[in-house]
Amino acid sequence: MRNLFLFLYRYRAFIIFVLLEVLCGWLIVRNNFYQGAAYFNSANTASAWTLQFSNNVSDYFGLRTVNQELARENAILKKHVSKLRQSLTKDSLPGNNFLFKNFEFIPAKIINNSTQNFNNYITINKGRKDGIEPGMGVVTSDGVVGKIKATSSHYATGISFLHSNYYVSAKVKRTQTLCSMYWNGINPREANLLYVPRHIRLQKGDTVVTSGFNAVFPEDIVVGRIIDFRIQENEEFFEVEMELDTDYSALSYVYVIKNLMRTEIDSLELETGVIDE
Amino acid sequence: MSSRNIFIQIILLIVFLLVQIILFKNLVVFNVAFCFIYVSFLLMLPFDIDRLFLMLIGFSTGFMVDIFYDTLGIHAASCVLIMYLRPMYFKLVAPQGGYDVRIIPSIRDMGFIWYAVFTLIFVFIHHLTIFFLEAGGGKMFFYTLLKVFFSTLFSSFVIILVQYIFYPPRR
Repeated sequence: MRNLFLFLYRYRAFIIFVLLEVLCGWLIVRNNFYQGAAYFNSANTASAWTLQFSNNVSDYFGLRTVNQELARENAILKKHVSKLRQSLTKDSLPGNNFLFKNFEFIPAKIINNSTQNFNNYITINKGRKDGIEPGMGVVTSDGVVGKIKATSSHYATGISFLHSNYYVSAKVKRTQTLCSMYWNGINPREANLLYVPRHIRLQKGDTVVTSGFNAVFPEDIVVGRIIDFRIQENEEFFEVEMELDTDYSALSYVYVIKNLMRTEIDSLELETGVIDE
Repeated sequence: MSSRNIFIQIILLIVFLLVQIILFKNLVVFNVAFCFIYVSFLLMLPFDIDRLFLMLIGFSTGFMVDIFYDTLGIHAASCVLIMYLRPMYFKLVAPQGGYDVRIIPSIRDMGFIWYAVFTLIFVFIHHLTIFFLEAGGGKMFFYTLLKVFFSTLFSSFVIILVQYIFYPPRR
C-alpha cells in the first residue's frame, strides 16, 4: 500500500496531466454533440456581454457596408412587393408562396461569427425571451446562415453553415433534383452538392435553392449557383461545386425562422415511423 | 510567490485575455495566420511555480479562451500540454546552478536568442495541437499544416514584439 502511495506521489504530475487531458477530451466530444445542452458557450451572459461590447465598437467601422446591404435588401423586397401585387390582380392560384404563411421571421443581429475555422459558430442577440428555440434555422436575404444550437435568455448560439458536419437539404431549381449541400472546409464562398444522380443534365450557372423538406428552412430560398461539376466513370453521383450567395465574413443582420407547423410535422413523422429518433 | 506577485499575474491574465478576444479574435491574415497572444502569459509565468499548479493555470486559461471561441476543450487541452512540457524544457536548458529566483522567462532576463527559441518551440506545439484537434484529426492534413506554420510565425512575431515593448533586453 505504501509503495502504491509512493508511486502515485512520484508520478503525480503525469497523472494530473493525463486526468486534465481526459477532461478536455470529454469536453471536446460533448461539445461536438449536435444538440448538446451547453452552458459554457458564447451565449452565456458574461461572455455574450463582452462580445456585444466588442461588436458595438466594430459596428462603427462597418456602417457603410451595412447600409449598402440594407439598401440592396430593400431593392429586392420592393421587387417582390411589385411582383406580388401583379399576381394579386391576376386571378391566380396560390402557388408555393402560401407555404410562407407557416413561417415567422424574427430579425436578429450577429454579435459573434467566424469563417476561418473548420467548425464555425455564430452568436446572435436574441434569445429565449424573443421566442428563439434550439433547432430553428437562420437565414439572410441571400441564403442560409445556420441553425440554433443553444439559447440563453437574451442570446443564442448556433452552428454556422460553415461547419464540417452540417448538411442542408437543397435542390437544383431548374431540374428540381433533390440533393444535400455541405461546406468543404476551405473557401467560405464555396460549397459542394451531394447525391446529384448521373442522369441529370446539369449546366454551369444553375441556381440552387433550399428544398424545404426538413422543416428548418422554407422552400425556395436561393443559396447559390453551380460553378463546376464532373463525374468519374464508375460513380453514380456528380461532384458539384457551387458558389454561395451569402458572404459569411460580412454577416450582420439575419432572420431566425420559426416554423409554426414544426411540432405537428415532427410528431406526425414520428408517429408514422418516417423518421426514427 | 508573494501575494503582490499573484495580483500582478491575475491583472496580466485579464489584459492578455481581453486583447485576445477583442482584438486578435478578429484579426486573421489571409485566412491562415491566426494570433494566439494569450500563450505569452503562460510562457512568462515564473520559473519556480509547482508543476501541478502550472497545469491548473494552463487549463483554466485555455478554458476561458474556449468559452469565447466556442471550441470547448481544445485550447484547454493544448495549454495543459505546453504547461506540462515547460518545466521539462527548462530543466533541459538550465544554466549551471539553476535559475536565479528573481528572474522570469522574458527577453529582459534571458536575452533574445534564448527567448526566441523557447517561444517558437512552445507556440508551435500549442498551435499544432489546436489546429489538428479542431480539424478532428488528419482531415485536410496539408491545409492544417499550412495554418500551423503561418500562425506559429505570426504569433511568435507578435509575442516577441510585445516583449520588446514591455520587457526590453538589459544593456
